Amino acid sequence: MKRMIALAALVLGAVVLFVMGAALGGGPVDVTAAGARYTVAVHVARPAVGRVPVEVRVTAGDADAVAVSAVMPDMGHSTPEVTAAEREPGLFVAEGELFTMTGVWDLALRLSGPAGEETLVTKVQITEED
Amino acid sequence: MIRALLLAAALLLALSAPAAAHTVSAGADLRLAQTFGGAEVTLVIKGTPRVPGPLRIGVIAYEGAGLAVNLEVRSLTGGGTVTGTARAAADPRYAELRVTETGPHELTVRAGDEVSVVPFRVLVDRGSPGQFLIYGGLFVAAVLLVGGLLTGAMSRRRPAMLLAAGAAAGVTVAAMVVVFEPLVPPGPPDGAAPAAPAAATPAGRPYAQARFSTEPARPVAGQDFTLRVDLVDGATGRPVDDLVSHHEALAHLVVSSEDGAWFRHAHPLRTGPGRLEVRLRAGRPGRHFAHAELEREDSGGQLLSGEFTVAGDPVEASGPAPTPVTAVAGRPSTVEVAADGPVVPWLGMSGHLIVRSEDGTFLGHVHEMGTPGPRLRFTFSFPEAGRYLAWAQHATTGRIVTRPLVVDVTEPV
Repeated sequence: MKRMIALAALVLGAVVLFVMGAALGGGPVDVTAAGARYTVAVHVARPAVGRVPVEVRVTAGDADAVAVSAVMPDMGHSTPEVTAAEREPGLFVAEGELFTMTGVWDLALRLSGPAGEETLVTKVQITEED
Repeated sequence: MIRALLLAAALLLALSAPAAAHTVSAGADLRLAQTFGGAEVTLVIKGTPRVPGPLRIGVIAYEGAGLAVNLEVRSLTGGGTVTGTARAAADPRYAELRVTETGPHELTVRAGDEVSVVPFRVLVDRGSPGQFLIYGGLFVAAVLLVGGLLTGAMSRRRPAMLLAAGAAAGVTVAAMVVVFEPLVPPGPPDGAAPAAPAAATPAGRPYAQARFSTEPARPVAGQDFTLRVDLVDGATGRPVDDLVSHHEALAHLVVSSEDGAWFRHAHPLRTGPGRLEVRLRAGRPGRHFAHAELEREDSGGQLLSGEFTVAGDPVEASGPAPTPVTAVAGRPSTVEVAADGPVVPWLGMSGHLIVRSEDGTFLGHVHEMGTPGPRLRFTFSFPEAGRYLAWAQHATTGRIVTRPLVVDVTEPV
């Protein structure tokens, strides 16, 4: 009986930790942004300060090139634009020092292609220190 | 214990800081004044309680009733678009559009050849997890209690005790949640922008810089021109595209001829990121001042100014002569103006007084302070002696009334 109670307490503790961990963030960031010419799905596997890859999948429109830059409007921080490499058709990966601190950043995706140039802006929350 | 409660209360206040304006949720509408074709209207986007759900949009006419507008709402995450039409009226009929997702959207309003693009966020409240625990706890308690009574009636003591204990636990959980739920900060609504903890957010974003220009570059009296304001963030050089509704407008643009005989208080349309435009018709040639009052997200209000010159000959007959008023520098002075007809609240207030120094270097915007009866009363401390031009404004049925004043401010004796 005692063993059962201990087991139940352990399971409960694990559930609480999991829920708290999920609530406090730290997981990957997935956002979509739709413009007039292009639509993208952005995946940041590790929303961390420092050098991180940002995946941009173009889900609508025909983009030849994608450049990624970030601005933290609260602080007035702006980081250099990173040109994304096309890993496979429609999948671009930009890897660079986009985020210099934790907090909410405006991620600007400058897409260009036969349809013209368009910049889509989406918000990402950076939760992990380097 | 008291310290813990205070801490919880402080945390609650910090986390429930008002979300960025420009959000529409059930019971929280977005109101934005817009100047279309020289007429003052207010765009209202009513919140929806759910998605997919209705999004009601109306155009209140303070002037220019009957203006027909085309509406287009586009999701900035999914790209889905819905359209509708609306007609401006004092008591408008709301067009019902359908939104299918929460999050950032863009409303494009077309009237004639003018276009306004308004970004906003659709928020829908998530059910509170506390409620689940309260009702769940009570439900479990009720089931177990009935089970316990039945088992007890069949004189099976041990299971009856266990069931009764379970019922007590259910009631305890529900009661605890009822007591403590108000102390737990609510989660963000569905569709909200990610937000940093309030403590990590500095008070105020960097300043915005404005470049004023006109199209054509040299407007001619008697002809339409577009006054354009390009806003740039002083710290990053990027377009400033985070304006929030400040006294029911993205920006209040005060445009006046140097002599003060021509005056407009307009509400420019956002035509692109960081770009505001309004179409005006110049009345007199010469130097003109433009002052834009606006507010960035998480920041206070700010005033930006510029000027331009109008060519040609005067075409607009001078309006009523300004009423002379006197005041003493540095002391609260009160200006009273008779209202012209029943006063209708406009921009959230019953009256507005715009004050400008003769040289255009100073601008003030004063609100009427709820005077009963058909009078508007404004109190303002003029910073220094000299001559000021002022315009008292209020809305009445179907029009905006503007009364010019000239204020001679003397040094205190």
